[in-house]
Amino acid sequence: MALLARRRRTVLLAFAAALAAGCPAREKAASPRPAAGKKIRIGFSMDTLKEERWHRDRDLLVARARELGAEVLVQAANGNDALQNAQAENMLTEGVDVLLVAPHNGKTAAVIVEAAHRAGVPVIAYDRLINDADVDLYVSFDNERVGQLQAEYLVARRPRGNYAVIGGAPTDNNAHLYHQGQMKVLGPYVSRGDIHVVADQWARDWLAVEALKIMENALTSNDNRVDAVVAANDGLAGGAIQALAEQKLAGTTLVSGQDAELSACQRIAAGTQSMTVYKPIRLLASTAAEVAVKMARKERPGRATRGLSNGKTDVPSILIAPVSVDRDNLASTVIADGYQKLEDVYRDVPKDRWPKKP
Amino acid sequence: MSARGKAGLSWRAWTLAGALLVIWAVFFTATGGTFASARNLALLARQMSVTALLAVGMVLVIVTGEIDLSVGAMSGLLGAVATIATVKAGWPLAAALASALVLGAALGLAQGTIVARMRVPSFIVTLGGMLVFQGTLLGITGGISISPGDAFLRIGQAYLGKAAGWAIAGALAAALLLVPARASGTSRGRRVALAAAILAFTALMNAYAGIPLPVLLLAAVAAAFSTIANHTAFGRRLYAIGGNREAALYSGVSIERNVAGVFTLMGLLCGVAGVVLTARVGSATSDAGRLMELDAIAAAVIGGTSLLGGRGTVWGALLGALVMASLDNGMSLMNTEPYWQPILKGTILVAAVAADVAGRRPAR
Amino acid sequence: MALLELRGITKDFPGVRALDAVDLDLEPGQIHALCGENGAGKSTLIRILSGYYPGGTSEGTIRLRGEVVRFAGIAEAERRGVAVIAQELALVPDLSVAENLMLGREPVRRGFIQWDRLRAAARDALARVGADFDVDRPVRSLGVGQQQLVEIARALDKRADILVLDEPTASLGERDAQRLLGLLRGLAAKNVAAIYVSHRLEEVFAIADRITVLRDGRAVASAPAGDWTPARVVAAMVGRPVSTMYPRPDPPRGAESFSVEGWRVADPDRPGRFALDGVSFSVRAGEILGIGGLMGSGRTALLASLFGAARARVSGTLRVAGRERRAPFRAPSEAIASGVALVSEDRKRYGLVPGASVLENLTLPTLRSFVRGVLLDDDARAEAARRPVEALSIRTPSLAARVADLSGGTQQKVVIGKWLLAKPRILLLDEPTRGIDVGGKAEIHEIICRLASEGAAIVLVSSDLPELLALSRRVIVLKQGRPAAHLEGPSATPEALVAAATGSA
Repeated sequence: MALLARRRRTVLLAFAAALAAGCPAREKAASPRPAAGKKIRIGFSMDTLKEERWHRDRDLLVARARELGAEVLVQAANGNDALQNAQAENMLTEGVDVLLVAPHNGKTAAVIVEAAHRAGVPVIAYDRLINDADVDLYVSFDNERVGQLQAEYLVARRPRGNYAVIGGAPTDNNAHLYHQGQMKVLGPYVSRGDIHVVADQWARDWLAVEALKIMENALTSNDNRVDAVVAANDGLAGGAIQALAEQKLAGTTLVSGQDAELSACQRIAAGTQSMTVYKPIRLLASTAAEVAVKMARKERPGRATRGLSNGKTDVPSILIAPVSVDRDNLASTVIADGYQKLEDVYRDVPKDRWPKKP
Repeated sequence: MSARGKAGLSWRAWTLAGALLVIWAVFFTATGGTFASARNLALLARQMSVTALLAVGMVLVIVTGEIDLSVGAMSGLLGAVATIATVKAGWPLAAALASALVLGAALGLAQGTIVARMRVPSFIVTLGGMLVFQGTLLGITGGISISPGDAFLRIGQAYLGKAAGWAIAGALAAALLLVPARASGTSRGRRVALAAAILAFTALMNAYAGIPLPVLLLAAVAAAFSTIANHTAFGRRLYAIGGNREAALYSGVSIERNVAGVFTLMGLLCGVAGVVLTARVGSATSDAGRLMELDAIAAAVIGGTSLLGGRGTVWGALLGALVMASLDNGMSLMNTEPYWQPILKGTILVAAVAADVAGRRPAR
Repeated sequence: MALLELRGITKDFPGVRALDAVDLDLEPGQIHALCGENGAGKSTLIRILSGYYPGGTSEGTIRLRGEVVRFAGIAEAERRGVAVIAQELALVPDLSVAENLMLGREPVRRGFIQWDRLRAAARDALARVGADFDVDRPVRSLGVGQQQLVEIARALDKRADILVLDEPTASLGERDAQRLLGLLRGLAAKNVAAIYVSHRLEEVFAIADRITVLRDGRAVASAPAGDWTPARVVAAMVGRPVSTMYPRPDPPRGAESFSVEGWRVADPDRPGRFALDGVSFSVRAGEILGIGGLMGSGRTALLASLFGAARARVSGTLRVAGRERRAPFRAPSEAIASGVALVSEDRKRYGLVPGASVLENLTLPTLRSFVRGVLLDDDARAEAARRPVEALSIRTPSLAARVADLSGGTQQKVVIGKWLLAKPRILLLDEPTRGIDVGGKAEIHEIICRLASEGAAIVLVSSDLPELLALSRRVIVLKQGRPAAHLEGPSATPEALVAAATGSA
């Protein structure tokens, strides 16, 4: 009886939380079920499902975990710190064996780690690191490397000239890592005087419309003399390219990106976006599912390579290498992996100019 | 006594114009003149267009004594609907755009009906609406950003040819100067000033690339809404309802019909703003329109709209939107840290209303 | 030594001198009546006296007990013993009587209110004005007269010895008004002085020791009450003798225009009971039917329900122009469409959009008639608005002036004017002359008679008995929502009306 009452309350709470965030409780299948036998249950607390890539993360991770015989509870907080903490606590109440957290805010999520450890549940930071907490494991792409790949691609083709840097949400820890990576590459060119950074701004909440305005203003104040745009992800690249297209500069000015979103791949195929950084999310998600299952079974994850400081400890980390993608290797990477479909990417390109099906 | 009323109005207009001049002067100096270039002013006009479209409708909603918090989310949703209609459903562009407008009007009517007929406060209805629209937007896009075709994007990017711009401006100016002023209409001096303003604006825009399409759209919408506000029975009734709801009811004004009407108009405008937003950004995203309702409300209030209802003008809201866009644009040109923009915007919002209240006091 | 001495009080507003060198004396225990038309400067004088306009914003000196004072605000004036009982009562409707009485002076120990002491103090304060209602009731549930007693009790409890009363009986029924006058006389005997502003000359003569008349910002005459006659006061107020106060309307000759039968209105506050029941009457074109009764007898509920503005279930048969309607009007817009208009008793709340212009207010009910295509014809609208301005001599600087800036009488004419444009066949008037000065009243009486002679059927509610009896040949008296008497011809006397209304017959 008591158990039932408690469960009903949690369901209600989760429902209320989802309602408050204006997000339908998407993962119906993940709603609590009595722990029949000793099935492993993984909690996955997500920041958001508002971007395409997070849908993939969720689907791939859930699928891989199912293969391994584990069940995944998923909740997304729509970019709301407080809601994410509440959702994580709810999942702990549900009795998950291990908790995966893709934090909206790396600092406030430290509370989740404490709560989980009090309940004896290990925590894996997924994609984004949790700061100032005893995180058990960090599974991510090498984010600094993402920024490096973006900048390296651009400087290889435009070693001199005016650069605009459009960073992501200033509240996102990864946005700062990308920026660090970019500046690591650009730094020497800047101090040599070969490259001028004419704009270096952050787009609130990763909003494309912010990138659009930043780019419009940068073009105006520099009389269109912008040779390359270091855009931190594909959404921002899209906004920037709109501003360039308006000045008939799309395709002339180089633009970087990240995530290999469909619309970005289409732009690469059309030649308006130069590159994107493809992060094989399949690899990230399945790795995360595998180590989560291991940790739930109290086994050692084994594959952690190096410790990454989060301000409190060096967190054992598994960092997956991202891939730089441009028009030349689009077919052999993103499309070959099945991440995007050939006919979708080349939708607006005449068929005779399509690459061969991989 | 009428002089007092007019003095109140012009006091607000003067402080706002003065504040705008100060802001512009600061940015002009700080950017070494770039800020005031024809190109940047054209850009400024484009950047304010979406917020201003919403602010124009928001004025009427607030004048009626209501509020609409759902406009940002609804714009994002309607932009996505139009995009999906062209890209996925393969509808012709005109049909897709019309669908956004019709759906916007329908959603507005639904919200307005709940407010008017069931007497649920509009703050609550539209707060709920905002959440519903955000969720729906996420649902129909699935988090994937969708790019519409080139014809769609032209709405956000194209310019009216210089010759066409002059033709329209010339026709308007001629109409203002040549058609005889009616007894109670705008006085001759104001008509000349308005004609001069239209010509000067056209000259400024043509000095760069012509009048941007979103700006032309905004001008047309603002003119239409100003006419609705001042020269239709519907508009005057909105002011009466906001000024004293009971007295309006006792004068035979149907509160239900007019409140539902103003929300319907607001929904229609959300459709327009959503299409322009999507066309400008280049894709429909699941986050589009976020927090735009606050910008629209701030623009209306900076432009002299009273949150108590009964007072406000469409042109004031345009000026308010221009102030907000100038701050964004100027600080971005100066490459300032992003945290300065909300700080300054918030300060200006409070200062504008405080100046208005202070300017009103001695008149009482 | 005078308790209060005002010398050379002068107050300027932009473009207007509201007060011009006004002198006024008040002795302890004296009731000093202040008379004058709207705009004569009474309210301004009261506001200076009460600290609403702080010292230094006007010229002249105020001496209190021989000492020159300059009040920084209302709070200081109260502390010195000057309390204003304003037209709009300064009570918090949802707090209890006790809390209102002790607001800002609650007995507190360690941060907690001591409710027992608070209630006891409140009961004492009420006893001083001869009232003994439950101090735990919310003020909202009291009648206007009772609320006024609470305000006076609060002022006395703060040791006020000068009460300034601005139209205190304007919204009181006959009985409450008499009780208030009695209370003031009793207080005067205990040395509490009062400055009494009222348009009702009978009251003024019944109570005042001294009468001062203001006109155009000047004190034109001041003398002991015994030296005045009502006619002389009126002459001083308007600057000319007023011969006949009430015009007599022509006897009606038209056909029946409006009738109700078995009219019944539910009481929204007490389910299952009725605010009005069994009311039937008919009015002919050109006739003025009077409705008498005390405050709360259902007069206002009757007019509001006839107009479709009742917030309760209404039933009964309604015939307009000889044709029977299937149901009572559901909204004012329906009533207006059938040619019915209502001038409400509370013009600020139901009659006007105060922030809007005279033009907007005048044309609000008839906006549709100015639409050409989709747009309003502004010229036609302005021209139409000028007609009532002239016909009713509405004193406004222009059509664009805000009605909030106009005097009370002029505002009331705007309310009547907007209905003139709608050309109603049936006009419901609820206290049309409340709070309006003598000159304004006479003008409104003439307008009412003229409308009747032009064929309108008029239902008139008024607490002003001479007015009601002079204008209407027939009067229906309501008592607690039921018809108590039908007076006509020689039987229509003030005595008969009061007797029927109070049930003392």
